[in-house]
Amino acid sequence: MLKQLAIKELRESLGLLALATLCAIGIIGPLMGKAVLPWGGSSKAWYPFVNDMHLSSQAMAFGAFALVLGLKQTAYESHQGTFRFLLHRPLARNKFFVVKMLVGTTAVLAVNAFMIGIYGWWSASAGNHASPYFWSMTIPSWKLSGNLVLVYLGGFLSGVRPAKWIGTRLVPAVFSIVCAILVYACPWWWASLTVWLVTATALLTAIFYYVQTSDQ
Amino acid sequence: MRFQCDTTSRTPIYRQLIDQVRRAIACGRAQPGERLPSVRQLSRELVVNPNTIARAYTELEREGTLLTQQGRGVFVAEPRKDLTKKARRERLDEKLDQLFIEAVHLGFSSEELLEILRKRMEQFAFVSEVD
Amino acid sequence: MTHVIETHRLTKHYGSQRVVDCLNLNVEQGQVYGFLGRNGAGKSTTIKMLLGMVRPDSGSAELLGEPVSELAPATRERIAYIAEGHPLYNWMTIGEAVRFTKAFYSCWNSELVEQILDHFELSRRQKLRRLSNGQRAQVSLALAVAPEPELLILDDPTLGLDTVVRRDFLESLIQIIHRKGRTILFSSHILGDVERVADRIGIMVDGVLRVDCPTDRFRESVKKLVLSFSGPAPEEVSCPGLVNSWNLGTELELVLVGYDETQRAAVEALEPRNIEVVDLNLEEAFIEYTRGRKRSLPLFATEESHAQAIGDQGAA
Repeated sequence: MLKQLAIKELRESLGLLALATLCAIGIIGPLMGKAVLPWGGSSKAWYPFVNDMHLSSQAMAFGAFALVLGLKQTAYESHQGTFRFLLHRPLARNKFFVVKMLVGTTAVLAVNAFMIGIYGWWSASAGNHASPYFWSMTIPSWKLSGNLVLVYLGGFLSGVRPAKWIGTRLVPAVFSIVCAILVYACPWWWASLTVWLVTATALLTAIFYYVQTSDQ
Repeated sequence: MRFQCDTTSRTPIYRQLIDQVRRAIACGRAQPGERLPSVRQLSRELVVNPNTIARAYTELEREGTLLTQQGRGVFVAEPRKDLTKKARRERLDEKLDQLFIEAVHLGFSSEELLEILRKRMEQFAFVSEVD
Repeated sequence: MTHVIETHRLTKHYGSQRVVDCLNLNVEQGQVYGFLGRNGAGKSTTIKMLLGMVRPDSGSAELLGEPVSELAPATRERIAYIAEGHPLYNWMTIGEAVRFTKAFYSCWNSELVEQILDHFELSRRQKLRRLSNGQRAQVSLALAVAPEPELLILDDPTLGLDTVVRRDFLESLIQIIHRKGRTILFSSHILGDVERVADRIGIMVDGVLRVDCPTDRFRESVKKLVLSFSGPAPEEVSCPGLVNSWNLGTELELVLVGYDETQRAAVEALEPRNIEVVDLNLEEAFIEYTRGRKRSLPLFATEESHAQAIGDQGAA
């Protein structure tokens, strides 16, 4: 049953995933000197991974994806009424949401990995650009994807927690974004890791609390 | 025999069924020994809870109109000979009095009533004179 | 007789309003229980609390002997639920919905699903979003009964279905009833359907279960009395079991629950010219019982005065 549940969650996320993949292509295309959109494009390729230019695009595009995905799996499904089809099935309530979060987290990481992978592979291939490249230069991007998981969980919590939209509904999402920025800004790696862990724990605890107590 | 049920009627469904069975027997449309549909069958046909059908059948059986044979079904019983003539007469008198009261209130004369009675009795299957 | 559904002072507020008020509901095994009440009376909220979709503010509920707040997955396998509106994942095809639902249950009657789909000429490849309301309802019911549940809880399952489709649904329900030992709790607004199918009814009024008895008993005990008076009828009357009264000039209509000696005495004490006792069918009994105080429509007022004017002319 968990397999069927995971498949269902994945299929419901496909639309957003496709959109995010297109955004990924839209980001790295110009960076590779290829015109993705008819009016975009650049005359020369940027030096990849050097000045973290791509990071802001990555953060914005995939951050938005993570947030929206988190909300879609929770608030949107609740709004559609299908929780009343799903949650009375013979499975512990928490497990439904664990599966959702696993699928969601994987999707967020996958879309980031896709971008980093393609861009990195292009950068590593000889003849594409005139600058040194080491795979270790992709580390900031990977770190960013870890932070985006926090944003995803923030969106998820916002969806699960009952509150007014014109009000405090999105507070958890904002909180997670702030924490993600904090993680990024920490000068020492152990401080970043601690903040990340604390934030993730806080978000997950709150998520399971609201999963158990909120009405459908 | 055909059954019907009317949920808008003020008579409960089980009572409607009882009345329909008795009327069919009285009009000769159902003969003694004839098999009636099973509770399940009728429940399915009329789209009614089987308990309601069972209730009707049970009461009809109690008053001797129907007979259940284990494993074979529900049948129209032979007309009862167990009640004494006196008991039967008492029952009939009660119903007749109701009829007469109504007829008087509606303004029928006794001659008119006799004529009407004669005509309507033809529709029903009375037992032939025995004894 | 075991109680399959049991609630103890189940209560839920929304804001300052008590939507369900200290509800004590008991449904025995094998019963078909019709759960009635006007919109907003608390039926749907009660059902959601039974399934754990909504948490009560106080009180508790038990299904199949287990508290709802701690229902084991194995017990949930024996309980079927169809929420209002037959929610389904619209993007799925019928086949996908069957495959998805089946994965949750250890017991699944595939033949039954086949039969139902065949009977209603539904193909597994059809997308749920393209089905009509009636077809959705049948798919929903098929998915609910396939695990051979002991308890079915249906929240207004015929809402929005046309007459013919409603009949189809009822026929399916009768088939379910024929399989012994099943208990069904369903809420409905169609009193005719309830009369056909329910052994027992419960009526919720403003969050309180005011009636809980066999279907026929309710109908038989609600009586309408029309009292005609030579002069103007009394405005008010006090009488045990009085549910409603309506003054119509020279007539007084009363709706009573139970009509025995005490009430007959009370009514006769008003000295009416005539007392007419009217039996009601289930729908009429329900309406009179749950209507609340009638306010006369402006239309009726003009008719009355017209009738009175003619009456006055006659007298003069």
